[in-house]
Amino acid sequence: MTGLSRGLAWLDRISSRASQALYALGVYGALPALLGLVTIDVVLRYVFSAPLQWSRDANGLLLLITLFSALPAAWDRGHHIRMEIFYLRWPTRLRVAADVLSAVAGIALFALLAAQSVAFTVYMAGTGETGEDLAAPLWPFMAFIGFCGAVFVARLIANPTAETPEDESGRGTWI
Amino acid sequence: MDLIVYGFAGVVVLLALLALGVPIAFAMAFTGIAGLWIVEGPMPAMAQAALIPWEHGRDFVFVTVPLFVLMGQLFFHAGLASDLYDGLRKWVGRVPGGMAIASVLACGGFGAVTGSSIATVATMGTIVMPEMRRYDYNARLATGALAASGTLGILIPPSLIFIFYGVMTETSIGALFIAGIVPGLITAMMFSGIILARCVLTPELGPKGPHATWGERLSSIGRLGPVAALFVLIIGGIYAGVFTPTEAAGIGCIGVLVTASIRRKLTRASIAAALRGTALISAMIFAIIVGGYLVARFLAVTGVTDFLVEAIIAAELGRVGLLLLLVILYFVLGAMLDVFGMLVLTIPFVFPVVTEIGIDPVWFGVFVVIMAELALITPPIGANVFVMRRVAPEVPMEEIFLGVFPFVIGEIGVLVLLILFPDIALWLVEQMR
Repeated sequence: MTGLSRGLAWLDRISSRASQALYALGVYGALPALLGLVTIDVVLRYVFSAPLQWSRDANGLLLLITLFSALPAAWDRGHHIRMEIFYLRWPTRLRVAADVLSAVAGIALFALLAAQSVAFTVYMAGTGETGEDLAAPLWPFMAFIGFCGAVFVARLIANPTAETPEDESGRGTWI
Repeated sequence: MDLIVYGFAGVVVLLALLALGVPIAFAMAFTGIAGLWIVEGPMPAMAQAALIPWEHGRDFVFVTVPLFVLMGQLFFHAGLASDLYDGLRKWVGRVPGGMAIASVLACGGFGAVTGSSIATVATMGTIVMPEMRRYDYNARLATGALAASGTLGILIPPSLIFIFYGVMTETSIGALFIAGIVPGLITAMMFSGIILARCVLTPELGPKGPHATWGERLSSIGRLGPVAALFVLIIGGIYAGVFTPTEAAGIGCIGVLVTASIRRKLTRASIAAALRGTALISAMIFAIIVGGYLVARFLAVTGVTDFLVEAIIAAELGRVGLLLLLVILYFVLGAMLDVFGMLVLTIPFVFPVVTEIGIDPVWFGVFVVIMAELALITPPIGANVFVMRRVAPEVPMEEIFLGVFPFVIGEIGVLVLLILFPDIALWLVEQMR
């Protein structure tokens, strides 16, 4: 085993664990909390005429956690949409090239996101930026999306091909 | 070099990436960021790469997406669909083609809760196909009716495609939901009428189903109750201005949880499966929307969007001419792309043109959803047909596509009605306003 493949295997192991942990956080933490908060707010608003002033901000942040924490897992499980009509008919070499190009395109976005979020996190921490109604600092959430972006980049490097749909049935979609 | 040249070069790169098979979200995001990097410099491009996901990832309107998906996933995983079909069959099972008509109506009801066409076909197909086989239904009629009726899932509100369109275009999701009601009912009636007419003319296509007494029929209403109650609660609440779509989605989730608990169909496994599915689907949609915003920003900066708007307006196609052009465009794209891809690729170009010539954005949302419905049942992609094939593996794909054909004609009929009489979609919305 060469140094590069050992490195990739390590990256795969570590990033896979991080991806699973993030996914669990989103699925069993943020998403139920989002549902709970929306419901509680509706009850307080319409039954007791006492809505939570900060619920909109908090909902937004819970949504952010739900979406970003599931992104690397969505890639690993093949939850992405591509023009399969050609892709599935490409010869193997072209398909591999398309997979590499996909990974490069994904890395470009999420690496920039991760890098820029560091700058924004520092700036937000410095200015003490908070939500409009929720007096909580926003920088940890910006740091969180940067971390998720970094994990996604690691998954794209370690697992560039992800899962490939077997047919054109729209598997993995909910349309 | 002129900015617009960069813009068109970006469009070419985007199409090449898509044709190669790069996931739509990545292809759009990459084109958008690389384009912004070239025309505006690295700093703005990097800032957009973080700011667009940050802003839209906290958008209160987008909370609607995971909550409505969760509602549908809970309903799907709790297995509440069989009650719906059973109840409807008691009422219409004895008319010619009655089971197929019941499946159309049940798909409409199931779609009203899940907002998903594919889940509707997979679920209702599994429930209805064995029964239609037992009663010797013509396989082409049975599979065609189910695959086509699944599309009601995205027209009858709440619908994920409406939410997606609403988020992309900043059109009121509540108004879109209300606008989908009448076209959805007309489509259901059109499909039922097609089945009835074919089975009256050729009775062996769809024999009569089992007899049900009035007592059985009346007691079946109780089984239809939860879906009807959820629909009234969600859509009635939005229509009356009591709930925002986001709040209605939350209430809908609780409604499904309570119903499933009462029916003793709620398990930890079903809740976990629903949560997992919801997170993955929402993340996928979010990635597509972020990609769409990035590429739209690039196109706006380069002036491509304005150029296209001006060119199409200068062509003086008129409302009907433009819509016919769009019908052709969506047929072509629907043959190559998934529904989300079809919308996210076209909306940044098409929406400004449509609004510029005075077409109501809400009406256009309904138009777009009907085009998406057609894409779901026409070859070569026809996702619903592929799902139906999995449910009925003994029926060849060609048979299912042939079975769907009369319903495609029916759907085109609904589209023509919608173009000729826009009030079909807008009348209820006007009442709400």
